[in-house]
Amino acid sequence: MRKRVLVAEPDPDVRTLLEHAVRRAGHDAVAHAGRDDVDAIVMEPGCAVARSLLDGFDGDVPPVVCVSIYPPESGLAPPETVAYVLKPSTPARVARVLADVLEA
Amino acid sequence: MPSFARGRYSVTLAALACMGATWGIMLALDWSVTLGTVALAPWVALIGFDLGVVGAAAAGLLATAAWVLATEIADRNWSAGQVVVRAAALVLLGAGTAIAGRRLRAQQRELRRTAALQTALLDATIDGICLTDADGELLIANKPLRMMTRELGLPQSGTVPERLLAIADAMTEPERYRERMQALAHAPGDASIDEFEVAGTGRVFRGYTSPVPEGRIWTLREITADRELDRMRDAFVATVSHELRTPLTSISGFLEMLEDEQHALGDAGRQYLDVIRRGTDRLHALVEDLLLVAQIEARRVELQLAPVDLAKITELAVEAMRPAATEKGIVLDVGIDSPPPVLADALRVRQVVDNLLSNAVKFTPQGGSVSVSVEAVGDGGRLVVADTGIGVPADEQKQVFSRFFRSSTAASRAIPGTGLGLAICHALIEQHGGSIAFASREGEGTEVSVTLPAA
Repeated sequence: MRKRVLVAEPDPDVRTLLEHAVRRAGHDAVAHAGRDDVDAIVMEPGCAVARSLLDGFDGDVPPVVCVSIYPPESGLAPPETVAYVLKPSTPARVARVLADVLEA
Repeated sequence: MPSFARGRYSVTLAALACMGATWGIMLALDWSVTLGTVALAPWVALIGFDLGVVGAAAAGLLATAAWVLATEIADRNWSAGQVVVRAAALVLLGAGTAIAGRRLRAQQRELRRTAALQTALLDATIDGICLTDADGELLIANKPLRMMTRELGLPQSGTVPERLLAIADAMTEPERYRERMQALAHAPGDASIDEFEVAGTGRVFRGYTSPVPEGRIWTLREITADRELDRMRDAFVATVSHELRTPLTSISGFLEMLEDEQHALGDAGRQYLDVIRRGTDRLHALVEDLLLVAQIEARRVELQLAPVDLAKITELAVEAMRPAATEKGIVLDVGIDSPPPVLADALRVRQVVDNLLSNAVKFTPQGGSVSVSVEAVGDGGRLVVADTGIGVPADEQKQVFSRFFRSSTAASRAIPGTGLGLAICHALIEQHGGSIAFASREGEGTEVSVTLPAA
């Protein structure tokens, strides 16, 4: 079943790649969505705007996949993080991680 | 005045007093002679022995002898001749004393000049320097040290170790500081270098102390600015490493998408893709190295220690390197024993081995050879990678483990590299509690050996 994945990434080129990864995993990428419509979030935790999107979920945040330029120990990942991918990463890799997360 | 000088003067004084008394008794049993000679002794003792003083003393003694002789001859009935002789003896004694006095004044001037020069020299340095005696009592302190101790709030009394201990709580790591200072107080023969930071001020000091005859010398240098530069460089390296990741993600990502579509490309297009792939992989490796360096500097690398088979890791790394070696016509000579497992982080050890092998192949010209060996040593395992490559000039070898260092032999041949590989190996092996050694001869080859502790 196709799920809705919110992509929160500041760089437009990288956002295109992440959206491609979501489709490759067999799901739909969305840029804005109400909290009831999102099954997972792919985000750059180093981006303040991306982090502020999480506030809109009123604490009911779906699973988050971080795809970041910062290593995991930088402490930027939100508590809802279920997978962490360090950039540079390819769509294939992100798609695999996302598929694992959404099937779990 | 240093104690050895006081000791020498008192001994001389006593010796000369005894000598004077003996002269008096021997020559005349005449108390005036004895007193005259004894009066000379402190002068000689104060000045110490040098030509002028010995001359003055000799003149004094001659005068005394002449006086006694005249007295004996005249059987104490003073004629005009005796008076002249006695007067002459007194004049000689006076002259000797005057010469000695001049000498003393000249020596005192010289002493003051030397002391002033030494003080000027000590005060003109940027380091705080002081000297203590064997009990730690302060003997001399230069101006920068007096300033630093005021700024650090050191007490003005007590032995130097006591004063240093008194400010332990002002440090960022008071326990470590206290431990070091107590260790120093109890080991008067030890030299040591320590760095400490004053809490809340960001000021960092490096203290060096070393024993000297009958005491200890202490040097204090503020290294706040050096630390700030280090911090800025590390921040820069970390920022570069992070900021390169976004464009690199675009390149790798779209490259992967292109590779998925490569059936639509001609042969030339596919070759271009290969070139882009190789360049991207090199950039990727560089970014990872930069990040690792930044993490090492920030002491953020955590090792997952477990018993590790060094031989197995090396074999895998050698097999991975074989195609590159074969392509360059380099013979890989492998001699791997089975040492007991070492206690290490397998991923980091593989990284070190890969680095050493890639260096060996990279810096060895066509047709050369690289030998790799693993063996058991005392308490662990050792890996040795030796090549017949271009080597590193002797005067550059002490820098090979510094970050961003590139040997002139590599730079002049335009062999690509960042100068991070050996720095990373060194830091990782040190963190494991192992050791890494580098030996090289320009134009002949290089040997790097790594020892890791047993599990």
